[in-house]
Amino acid sequence: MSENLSLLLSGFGNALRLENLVFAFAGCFLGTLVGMLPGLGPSAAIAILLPITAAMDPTAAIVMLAAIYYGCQYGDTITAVLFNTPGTGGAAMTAVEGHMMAKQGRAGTALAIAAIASFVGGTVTVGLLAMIALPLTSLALSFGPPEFFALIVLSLALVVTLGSSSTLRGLITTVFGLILAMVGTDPVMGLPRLTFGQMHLLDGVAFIPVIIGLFGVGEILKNLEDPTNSFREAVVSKLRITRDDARRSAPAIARGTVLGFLIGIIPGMGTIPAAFMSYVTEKRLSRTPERFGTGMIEGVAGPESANNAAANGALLPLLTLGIPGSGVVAILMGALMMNGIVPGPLMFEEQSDLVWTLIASMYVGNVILLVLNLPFIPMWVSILRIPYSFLFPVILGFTIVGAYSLANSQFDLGLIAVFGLIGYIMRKLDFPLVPIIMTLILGPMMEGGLRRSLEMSQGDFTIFLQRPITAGFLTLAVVFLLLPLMSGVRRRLKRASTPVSPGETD
Amino acid sequence: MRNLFKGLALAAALWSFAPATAAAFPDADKPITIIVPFSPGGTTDVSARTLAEFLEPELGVSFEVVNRPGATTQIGSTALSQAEPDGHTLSLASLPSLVMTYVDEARQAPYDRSSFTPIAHYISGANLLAVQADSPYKSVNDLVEAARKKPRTIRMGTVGLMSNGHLPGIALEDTAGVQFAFVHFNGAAPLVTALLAGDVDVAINGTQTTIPHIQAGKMRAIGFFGERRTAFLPDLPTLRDQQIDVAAPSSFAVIGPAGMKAETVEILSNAIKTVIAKPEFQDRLTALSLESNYMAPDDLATYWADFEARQARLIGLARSAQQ
Amino acid sequence: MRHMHPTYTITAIVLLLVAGVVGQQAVSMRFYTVLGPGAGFFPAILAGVLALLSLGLLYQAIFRADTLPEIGFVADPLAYARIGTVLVALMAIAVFIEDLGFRPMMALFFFVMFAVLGRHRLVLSAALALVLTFAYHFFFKGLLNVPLPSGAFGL
Repeated sequence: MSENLSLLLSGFGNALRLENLVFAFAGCFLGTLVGMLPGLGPSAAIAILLPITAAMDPTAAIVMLAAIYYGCQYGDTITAVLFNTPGTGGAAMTAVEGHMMAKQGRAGTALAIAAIASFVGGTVTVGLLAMIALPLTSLALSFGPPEFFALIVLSLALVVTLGSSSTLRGLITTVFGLILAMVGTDPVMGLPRLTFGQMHLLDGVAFIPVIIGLFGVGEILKNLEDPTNSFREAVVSKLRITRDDARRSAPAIARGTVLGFLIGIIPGMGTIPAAFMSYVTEKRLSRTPERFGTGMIEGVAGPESANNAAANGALLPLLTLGIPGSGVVAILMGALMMNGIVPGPLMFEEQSDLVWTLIASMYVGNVILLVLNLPFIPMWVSILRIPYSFLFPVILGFTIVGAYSLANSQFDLGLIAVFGLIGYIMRKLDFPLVPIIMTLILGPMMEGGLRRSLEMSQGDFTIFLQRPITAGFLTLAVVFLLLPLMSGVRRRLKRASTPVSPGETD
Repeated sequence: MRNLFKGLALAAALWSFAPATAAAFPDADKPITIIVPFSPGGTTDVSARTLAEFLEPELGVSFEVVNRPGATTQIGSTALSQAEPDGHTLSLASLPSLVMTYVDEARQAPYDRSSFTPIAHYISGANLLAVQADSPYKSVNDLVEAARKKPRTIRMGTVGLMSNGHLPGIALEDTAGVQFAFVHFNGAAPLVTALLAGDVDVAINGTQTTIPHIQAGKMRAIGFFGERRTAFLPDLPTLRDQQIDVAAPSSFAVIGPAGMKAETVEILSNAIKTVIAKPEFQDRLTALSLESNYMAPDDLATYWADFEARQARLIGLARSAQQ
Repeated sequence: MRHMHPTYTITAIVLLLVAGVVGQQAVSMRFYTVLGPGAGFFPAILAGVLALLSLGLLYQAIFRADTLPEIGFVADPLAYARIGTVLVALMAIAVFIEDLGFRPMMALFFFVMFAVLGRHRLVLSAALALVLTFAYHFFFKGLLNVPLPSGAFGL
């Protein structure tokens, strides 16, 4: 342990060297800018900058790429809060409450709490990575396909029972999202399913264009109903965090950090379920769950910290096993390889200097982001003062470039138009948007996990009962699904018990 | 509508350049686009960019690499098949994926073998069979014997259903006359995790993502699917070395749309040959754990036809095994 | 009990149709295999559930309309014209961007957005459209090296 500490200290020594600090600053700034453009997330930014960093000194390159990784996540939050235009699923959760806060003139507060939550989620988990990376590895490895499947089922149960989706319309959205998730190449036969002969659907409905369409374009269409009446009158550029805000956010951040980290270290889970689980947790624990969706600060603080914590957790399999835990990390790994570093189980031993510098620079990056962003918040918020008739074409332009450049695909551009219309209609008819995002992510994971588990057992379903973690998760899922039914029955029984004879209430 | 516009643009181009049709290839004012049917940042993408970087001075024309990922290369291949055959639009094709997309009729690919012109074979590689370091299987024959004793119990992980990793497994099943329990993952990362965790008994995986774990003493390779041994693991015997007549190489080739002029193909192919022979280029490939294997257009065409026949048979076997 | 809710009635019928199409596709796939659920298993179940939920919504829209939210229809019919314009413009970009090139399409798009939807003067709209197109092209292609389509005319 003390050896790790001294290695970490020397890592800090490297990360805090002037030239590396400059690269960290540049990376944070660039990352924030790119992250603000919907569609251009961290993977795009890092991929774009790969050729540049390949020519740099490896340490400087890693420091800069890590800074970009963080900067992007924060940049995404800015557009999510200000314009309800998230570019990733993680920020979509922030958008739900954050944008409502912006509409109430609390955009500054939402952004400040998001910055602080990201900072806490980021720095605490960097510390965890440094201290207990190796023991946690066995935990990550104990998550085989059956455990993965069970965890996804539990998440789906939470989506179904999530307050806002317990209504008929919420359930319809959930099922609609699951149906969308079935589009693509099926995991059983490897044949096209629900693609209607369209090869662009063979990989499924592309996720980022769907988010951009549902949230970004749908929001713009809604605002265009009356373009003169945007919410800029409500803009308050102060970023005051009241005592009440702080009291409500602190526990949410703590919970989000732990939850996010635990979900992040499971290979393949990623940041979206982490942010979502944190949101659901906050809603369940809240004394006023019905007020979620109206700009609750816990709904910004929790998911933001969970998002960053999960992003760091996803680095664990990379650092200890050399296996990328998420798509972004895979590209980060590509960057390591272009710099002549082969990520693998020996990286902690053979490249320990570099690994600890990476960990230290992640910490430094978080600090830089906080100092860089807090002063800038009034500037970002003042974007809202630009008249909407000038602003919306610029936002639409960014969504177009973002959606197209993901895969140089015209089809993805069509998708943002179609899902923009769907998003508009759903807003008008008061259907919740979040369940689609979650089910689109979780649906294929669930079906794939089930198939793989049954391939392992050759069709024997007892594989789900033999493994304790799996059985535990599945039991929890059943409990979550039955709870609302039970309480509903109980309420009905109570109501019915007085006027009706007892025999009929069975 | 798209095609109408393409037609109009083409007509306009023909109109204005009609007298200059004899213009030599390459046209220095027009960049050469290489379509990479994979996402940026991966090995294939980097190998295409490296090739483009070296071809630029060789041909005296600028190169542009455009990623068109998706649908197991079907999207990029479709774009190539619809491009003009003037030699200014090429693609780096993964032969196993390309052949799979048009052999499997359910995918309704709008192209087949006749939609493309072979230019040069670029890279050869193959998968290997990896087990945990303390696994009882010391050779492929151990594995086959175990599968013969208890059919459908040896869990064999692949990088995906109908993928370059699945079909070699089908070939092994077919030749050895045994049955494995295939478990299909989504790419190398989850597959490697599953092997380390013991969720599968053996994995069919690429060399690049396996070697670090072999060096760390966590995994062992027991057989290589290539026709020859690989320079990166010279002690690893091929399946043929172990008296199992299976070879399932994967290869990357530079191809163009159908209808290219023979001179254009020759200029391009020779340029690629020259580039591949350069030591500094070889160094770059080695850093990516890749092995070059140049083939001239005619040889590539023969190789392609042979490969397609084998691949079609394996896909048929894989489909008929599904119940 | 109030009159039926036309919007939700239509929504429910559309969703029923979606369920029908998915269900029809699902029956052509294997429902179950030796190793468990087949390709058609989840689509079939989901189509069934969606059909049930849509019937529920239909019932709610016709007989329990007061439990559904009022839809704030916009009095100004131009609002829908604006929304339609944006959607048509997005589709136009999706269809033509590779044949006509990024810059002509974006300039046209921005011009339409500013002039028609933003109701800015034509000269201002044209100027803004050109400046923005140039700025986007410079930022994305020049600085970030994002490959943007140049179209048949090389623009």
